[in-house]
Amino acid sequence: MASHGIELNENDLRMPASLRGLGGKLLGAGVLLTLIGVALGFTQAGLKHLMFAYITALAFTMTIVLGGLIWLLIQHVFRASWAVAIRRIGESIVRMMPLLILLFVPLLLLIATSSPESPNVIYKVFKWLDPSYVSGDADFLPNKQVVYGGYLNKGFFLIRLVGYFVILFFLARFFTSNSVKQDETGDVNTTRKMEKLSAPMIPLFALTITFLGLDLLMSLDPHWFSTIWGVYLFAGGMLSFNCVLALLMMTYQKHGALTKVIRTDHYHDVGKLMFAFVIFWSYIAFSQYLLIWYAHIPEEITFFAKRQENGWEWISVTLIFGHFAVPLLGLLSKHVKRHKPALAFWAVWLLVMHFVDMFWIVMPNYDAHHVPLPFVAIALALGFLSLIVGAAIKSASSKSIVAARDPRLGESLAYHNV
Amino acid sequence: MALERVMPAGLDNSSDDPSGRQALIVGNNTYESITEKVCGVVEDPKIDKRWLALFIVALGGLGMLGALIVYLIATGVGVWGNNTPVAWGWPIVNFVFWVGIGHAGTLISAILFLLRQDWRTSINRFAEAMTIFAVVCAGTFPGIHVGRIWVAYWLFPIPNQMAMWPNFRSPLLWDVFAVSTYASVSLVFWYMGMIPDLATIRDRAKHPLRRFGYGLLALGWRQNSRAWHRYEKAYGILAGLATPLVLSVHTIVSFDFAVSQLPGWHTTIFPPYFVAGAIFSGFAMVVTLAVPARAFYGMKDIITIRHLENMNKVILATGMMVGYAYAMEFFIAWYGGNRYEQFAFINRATGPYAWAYWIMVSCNVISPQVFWFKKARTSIPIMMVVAILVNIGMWFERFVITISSLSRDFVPSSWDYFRPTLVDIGMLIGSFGLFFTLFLLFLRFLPMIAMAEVKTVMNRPKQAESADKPEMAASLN
Amino acid sequence: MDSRISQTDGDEPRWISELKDHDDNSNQELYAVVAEYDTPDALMAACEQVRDAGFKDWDSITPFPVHGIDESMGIKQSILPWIVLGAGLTGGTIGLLLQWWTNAIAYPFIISGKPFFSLPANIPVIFELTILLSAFTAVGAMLALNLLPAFYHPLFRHPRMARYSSDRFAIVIEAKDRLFDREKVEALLKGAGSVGHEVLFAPEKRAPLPKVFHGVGILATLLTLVPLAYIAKARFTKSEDPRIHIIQDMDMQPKFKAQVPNELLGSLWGDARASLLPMEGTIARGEFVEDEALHYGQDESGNWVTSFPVEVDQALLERGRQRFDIYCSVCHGHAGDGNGSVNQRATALARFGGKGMAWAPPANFTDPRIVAQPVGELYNTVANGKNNMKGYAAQIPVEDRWAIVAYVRALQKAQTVPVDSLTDEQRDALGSN
Repeated sequence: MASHGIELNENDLRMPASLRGLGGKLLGAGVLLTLIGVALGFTQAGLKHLMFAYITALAFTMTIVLGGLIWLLIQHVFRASWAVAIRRIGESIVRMMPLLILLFVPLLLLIATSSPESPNVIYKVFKWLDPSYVSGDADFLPNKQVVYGGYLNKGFFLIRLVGYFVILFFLARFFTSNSVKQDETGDVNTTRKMEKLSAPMIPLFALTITFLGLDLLMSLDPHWFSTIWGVYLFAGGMLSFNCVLALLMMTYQKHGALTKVIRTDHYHDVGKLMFAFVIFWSYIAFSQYLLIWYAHIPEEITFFAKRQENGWEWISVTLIFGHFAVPLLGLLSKHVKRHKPALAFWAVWLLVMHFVDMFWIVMPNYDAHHVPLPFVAIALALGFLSLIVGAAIKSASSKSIVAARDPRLGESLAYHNV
Repeated sequence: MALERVMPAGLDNSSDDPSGRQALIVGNNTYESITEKVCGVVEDPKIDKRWLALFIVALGGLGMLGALIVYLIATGVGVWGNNTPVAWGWPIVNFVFWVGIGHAGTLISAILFLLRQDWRTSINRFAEAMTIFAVVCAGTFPGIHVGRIWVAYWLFPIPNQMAMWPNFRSPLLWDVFAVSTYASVSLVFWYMGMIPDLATIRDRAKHPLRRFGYGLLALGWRQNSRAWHRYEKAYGILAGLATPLVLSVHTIVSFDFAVSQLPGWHTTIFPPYFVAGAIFSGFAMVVTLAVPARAFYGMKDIITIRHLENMNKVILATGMMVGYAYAMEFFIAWYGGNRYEQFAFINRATGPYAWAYWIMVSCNVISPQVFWFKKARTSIPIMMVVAILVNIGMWFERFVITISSLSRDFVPSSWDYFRPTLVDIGMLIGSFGLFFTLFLLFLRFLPMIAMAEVKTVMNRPKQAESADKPEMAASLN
Repeated sequence: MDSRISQTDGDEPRWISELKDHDDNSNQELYAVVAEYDTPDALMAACEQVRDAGFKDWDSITPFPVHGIDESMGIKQSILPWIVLGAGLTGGTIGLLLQWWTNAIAYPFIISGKPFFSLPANIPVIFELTILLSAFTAVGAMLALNLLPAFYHPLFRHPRMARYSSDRFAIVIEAKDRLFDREKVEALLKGAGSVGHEVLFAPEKRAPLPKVFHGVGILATLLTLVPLAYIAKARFTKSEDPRIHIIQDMDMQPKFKAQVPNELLGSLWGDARASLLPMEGTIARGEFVEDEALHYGQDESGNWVTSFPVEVDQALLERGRQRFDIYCSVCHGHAGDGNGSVNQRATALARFGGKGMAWAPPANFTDPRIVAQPVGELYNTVANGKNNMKGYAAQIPVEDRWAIVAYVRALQKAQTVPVDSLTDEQRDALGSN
């Protein structure tokens, strides 16, 4: 479809071979790093540390992929056109939902095979699995017994997780495969179908990410709770996904793909989203902190009390400056957002900070008395991310790298930031 | 190279065909016709009878508010229904209600600007005015509920002979700063947006007093591009500032409640929940005002069905966010095992204020669900009903939060039931009088639609349309 | 829509001749050439030509901001964002310093357990002040950079200026541009597709400010100094007058203060105190003593009573034992030998604790001196204390004090009675324990 003079030919729609090769290399690197992480866990760090690091890495990757899914849903519900040119890149990440689900399987297996007679290390991770922990609460938190019975137990937990995965699998598949189908049919109704479904799917997604985050991360400390948890994870996920998107866009262009299609204005917009979600993440994180700090109720303050002693205070301060203050000032200027190397720098910075955020959430549950060495968690997180990105690139290589017959592609190609 | 939009045959531009974007301004409108339409309202030499009738009613409400405030100051805070333990009653509910309504205006001006939603241009002037007037109504209540209103200046950090300073550790003081900042920044943003339109009215004005008045307000604006460049930059910066501002104001209002230890109040989701609720009620108020105004003033081709539909979509989205927050509060209350928190929510649904709770749920969660259907989103009667229900529901939400949590907290011997007095009720009604007085004055004397901004989103006229203009030639030398 | 100013049939437009009527002394000079365009695209194309021709003192007039015109005109980016950034940082700093200084330095007070300098609690106000200053600066700097307000401008003399704020577009090229040449400019603009053009004249010099304004300005400036002068006077002088106190509240109450001498009362009663002493012979409630021997252990002459004013029976002794064990045994021991746990501890401390640990041991009741004391004196010791021992009157009611005295007597008797005086049954009872 011609649009203000930009014509796309067959070559423009195909992924260059060098990029596909890079995808393979990333996939390999991902496997290697994961194996290194697991090996380190078994030999040096210990199984319990390995499990917590695994969950950190899962949280890191899961928020990115889910961030991609909600980004995609938002594009459709807003009927936005600016991102149509890069949507296929975003979709490639979302398409990896089954791979993400696969990464959860070891965890689920560990939970499924655990029992009070033969407890395994997972009992030290999800303490509510352990019946003696549950009965220990009976005097001090009588009303919570119902919760252990009705919600925080092995059976329902597994059913719920499977449920979330089913929902996420179908959501991801619907929106990515319909988009690809439109490449052949050019059917305008496909766009309509995706727009119409995206609206009711957003509340469903919101509940899914909330409860997945609650089950996987908040239940690591069964006595603690926060109603803003789902929103917090969404904020971090959206932010990190936009960073990954920016880096992927640059990678594609570096290998010669999408050179006519992606303009500086697209980077500018992705940069704006990164900036906006730095602010949004900071707002949510601060709200959570301020309310709990101000009321100082013993049952809630444990979360922050753990994270302001024994070395964890340095991680907290790192988040304040590294996840909020410094990137806020750094991404303020539009020149930064339009300058690819600068944007790449901030994208990598924020991904590192997102890892620190997930580390800060998960690891104090492993050891609140000192900050453990992060190498296992880093290896696993990098490994998982590499796996996902590598697989995404490889999977995208078999399809058009641009939504060539999307009715709004023309607007996207001609799009000019004010 | 502006976007070329598809002009529908009639006035209905709500088609969802993805192959082209619908025009936002329909009918045979040109730049000139927009000017004529909008300025015509302001330049009308006669006073419209219906406007006058509404204005007199609104003035009556304002008068009642004024009289009740005088009565309150002369007699004392006891004229309200506030008791122990419900020490915060209707005044705080009204305050949060009005501040929430104000947020839609800033959202439309600022956030929709940042999101490049061109449809905001038909309603942003209108909505920003609504913001200012809603904040005026809101500010009245904390002002009068402090008890000794004559020392309300103690809230500000002014050097004084007692060498005392305000307590910055209190959210009530953060509120003072937040609402003051919000009021001033909204006012400045609204005014700055109006300068070009005031210049238009000035240039058309025949009567010297009108020319002087609007001329003074227009500050000598002569719409040259170099000035527009800085203006647009300032506008973009203000939009970028107003966005976190509007989030922060209702967040800080939510902190008034959430920093406490009261079950039902102390929960971390309050900040985004309150902001979503504010936008929810604000948009409902914009719809409630826009539907009659566009019919009354013949602006159906500028504030089109598409604009209303988009607003209804926002109402649905924010309503879902509010519903999500209700669900999270309930679930986490159960999950946390805190019996006071659990009781607070059971009490809301089944206790003495259950009637208020169910009004809130049906108005806020159930009624906007009709907007999943396009027919409902584009139907004027349905959207008016839903918008009014949403506003009622949001008032009740603040009522339920404040009063049900206070009336029954930790110690049963302290429980008591709150009943409003006639003064409470009179002041709420009177605040609507204040709001509508200001709003009707705005409709009459100021350009209700941002002409300059609307013109930027219209299809650009084609070159071929520039036929010879005989009247132009005659004035040239 | 016609021009607001009607045309006359003259050589020159009426407004020019009117100008000449009013400004007799000023010369009119050519200010600019204005060309009209009727579509934004036409305008932008023309702007590009003017820009490329090298003009600097020119502008375009549009009723709304035209996207893309900044490039067409070659307008440089404004420094406005940097000014706003500076203002925002200033606002944030002011917020931080204000809260720190007022709450931690100038007027620190304890509230809700929060530290005096509570950074988390200070964030909202810091944020608001950042936004406030940034927003006001954005608007103020925009107006200042645009040199607004500017109620006079030669462009307002253009007969079609009203159209340019409604639906038409124009390019203005000022005569002061160094490339300006009237014919060339007119040709350029016409060639770029204008639908008409006009020349504008403006006075060479601006009309001088009427003298009245000078006077008013000087007066206003002087008037603003008056309040400052008052403040300075108040700051550096002292006054005996009471300060102005508009809202009285309940600040000055017509009452007598408890510790302040008051002449009125002095003149009435002779005692200037608002809290008078009780009259002679006043007895406080609960303090009426009927039986002096019972209450004081003394008879009328002040001698210690030697017999119990209460019935001494087994019940009294039991009560006495119970009370003794509660109140007295800690120091005096259960046997009344003066070696209760306090004494043991204190002696140990005195031995090992070092300096300043002088300890007078509690009395041993079998001490002949104490055995010889009449019961009234023992009673007095219980009630009012002796030496280091504090009186227990506040804790032990009268009856119980006599019970304790009876028990003390029993203890004394138990430890001092010779064995020989016991009967055989009593000896056996003791021995079998």
